[in-house]
Amino acid sequence: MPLSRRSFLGRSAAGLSAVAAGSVLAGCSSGATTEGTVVSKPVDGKLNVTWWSHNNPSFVTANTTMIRRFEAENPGIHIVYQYFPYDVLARKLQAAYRARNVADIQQMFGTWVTEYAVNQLLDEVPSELSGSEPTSRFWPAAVGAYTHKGKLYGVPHEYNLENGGILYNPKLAEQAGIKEPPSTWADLVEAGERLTKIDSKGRADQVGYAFTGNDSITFTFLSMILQLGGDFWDSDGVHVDFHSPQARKAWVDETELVTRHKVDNTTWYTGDPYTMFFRGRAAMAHQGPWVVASGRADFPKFTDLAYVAEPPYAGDTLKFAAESGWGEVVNARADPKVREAAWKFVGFMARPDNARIWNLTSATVPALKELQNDSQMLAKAPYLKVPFGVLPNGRWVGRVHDRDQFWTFVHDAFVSVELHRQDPVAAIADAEKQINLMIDEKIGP
Amino acid sequence: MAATTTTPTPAAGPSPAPTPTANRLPGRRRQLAFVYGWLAPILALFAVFSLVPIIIAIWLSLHRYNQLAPVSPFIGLRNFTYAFTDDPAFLNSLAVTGKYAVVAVPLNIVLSLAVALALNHITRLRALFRTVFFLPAIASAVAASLVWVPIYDPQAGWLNAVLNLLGLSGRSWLGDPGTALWSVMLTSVWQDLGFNVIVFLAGLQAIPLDFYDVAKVDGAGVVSRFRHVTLPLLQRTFVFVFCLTTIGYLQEFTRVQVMTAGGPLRSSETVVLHIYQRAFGDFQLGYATAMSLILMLIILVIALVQMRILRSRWEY
Repeated sequence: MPLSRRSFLGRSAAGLSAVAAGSVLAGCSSGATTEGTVVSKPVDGKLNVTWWSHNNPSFVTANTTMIRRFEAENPGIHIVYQYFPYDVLARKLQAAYRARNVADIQQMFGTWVTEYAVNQLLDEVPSELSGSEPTSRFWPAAVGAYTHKGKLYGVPHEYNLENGGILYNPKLAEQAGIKEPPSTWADLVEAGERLTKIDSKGRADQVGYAFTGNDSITFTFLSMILQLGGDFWDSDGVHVDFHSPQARKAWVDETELVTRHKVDNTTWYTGDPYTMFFRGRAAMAHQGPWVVASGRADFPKFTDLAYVAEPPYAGDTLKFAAESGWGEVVNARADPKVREAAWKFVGFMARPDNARIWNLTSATVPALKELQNDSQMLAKAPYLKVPFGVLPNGRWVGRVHDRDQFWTFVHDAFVSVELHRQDPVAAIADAEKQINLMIDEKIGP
Repeated sequence: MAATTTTPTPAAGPSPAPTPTANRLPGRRRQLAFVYGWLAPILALFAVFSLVPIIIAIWLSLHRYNQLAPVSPFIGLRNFTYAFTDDPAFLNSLAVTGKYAVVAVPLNIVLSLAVALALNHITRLRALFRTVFFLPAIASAVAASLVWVPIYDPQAGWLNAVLNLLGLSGRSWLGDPGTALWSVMLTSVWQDLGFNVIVFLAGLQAIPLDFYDVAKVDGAGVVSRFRHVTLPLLQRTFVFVFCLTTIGYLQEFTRVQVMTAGGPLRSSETVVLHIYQRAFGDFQLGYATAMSLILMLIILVIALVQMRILRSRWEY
């Protein structure tokens, strides 16, 4: 099963929650407890504001750091913090909003936010926080899913890009006589071919360019369309259009990476491309910048790592689409005084000095434009230089309605071509039809 | 009849004081009151945990239910028609589930009967062997699946390693649409075998030895005794095993979810997995409930047909 960053969050959280609990206890001074996932309880005499998040350890550490700093500045307000496994949070939010017993603030994945905003369940962000335009403070890709009809319904923390960088193993490249990381698409394909090693039985001893994860296939495809000057949305802005000449060319070229150039294959390994890279079994891997910190944590002995810029497929800039990542929303039905305090906390987190800490601790790319090329961040996380270079070229992917189905349809079309079950044009037409049917069903009559 | 009974007519004037005997309910009514009184708690539990959910499920299946939306419009049978007309993944999942059950049920029954027959004939270490075969059955399906996933790994799995030693080429067992379902099926049969072995063993040991002795006296060989004594006298056990195994495989979920998540290309996506993904991945609860009801009807019909065909008309 290919692993997306979102599912990675859930899986890693399960294993490391104990570590998180320790750091939480250290970080949360008032009323901290190990009971379940509750890390602080209401405090009498203070204005208690409840906050839910998912349980990725680095996110929990970043969140509790924010609580500690905020409560030091605002002694009258207490943040009652609870966290849940990723999947549980996704379902709990749905059920809790239905039952009207949801927390005052929730850390939501951006792609989820639109549905809640459309159903008028979220409080509108105060103007002093949103700025004159949402995109005046935050990157358009980061804030896209938080907006509905021109209004902002949450504050994003991170720019959740999957494009822009490639994990690169300089040692394996040198052994193959490759001196420099690829700077053009042709270089990338050629390096991928040279770095792929297949044994006599047709199995891959080494993958040249691992990119067949669920996320990478779709994000690469969308990025290639944009770089060719096309668009993946139909003129109605609601349905997808994979019939354009740009979409067809992008799709054929992407699928040829496995059918013709054979730089990777979905049947060569189980698991995700980045794991293959950190096991030394892939020379290059397409993955977002989040993977650098995660890979270093999971494979501390692996050192042959460089994070290099993804070369453009067409033109000279890497245009790409990105989902909106994690951020804060406030329950529209919360008590007005609590809502005011909640926005105060969210605004506190969005202050550049705090956002810097939060992004560094959670190993994420800032959603705040102000922190692009931030010297303090680069000093502590030099790999951020690559994503910082492409942030202005990204756009919000758009309202995909059902994210998992959308990505699965594209992924399945890719596998279908790889296994020669369908020709590329028929496969992508099929994916387009399925995605549009899904969107129609979601919209309803 | 009532007109001819000799029920005493009430006399004029004050009624006589009721005697303890007059207070007693007639025998049948008393029995019924006793039965219903004892059944009341379980009936209440059934109502709360089975009947009410079924009614809610039927209500859900007739609505476009979005937990976040303030209203859930009534759409009649649209969810049911959508499953058969606009959701090829549902039809695919029905086919996958059908294939799964048609292959795995007979395979499981044949293998478990064979193992049970072997165990029935050995006297030494029978308990040990019985335990060995039963052990996988007590493991959770998730744990069993997690044991098998690395075995199937195309790079480091020992299945491919063994094949390579034999000069055969391995493959991506879970990553290839042609083998993914079979690989999960093999895990299922391996894990479920133990339970049916125990049931068959109990059935075999319940057959009186006199039947075999008589058959031997009549000159029946091993095959003949199996065909004319063992198989007929195991019929009730067969019905039990066949129905339970079929229902279990028609509801296969955990192992496919853990091992393949229904992929690749939905080649191992069973109905229950599809329902789960629609319900808790896409939050289409109304539609998922409609599919659940369809599956329930299918299982009901199959179970009734099985019980009708395999029913036994004798006792021993």
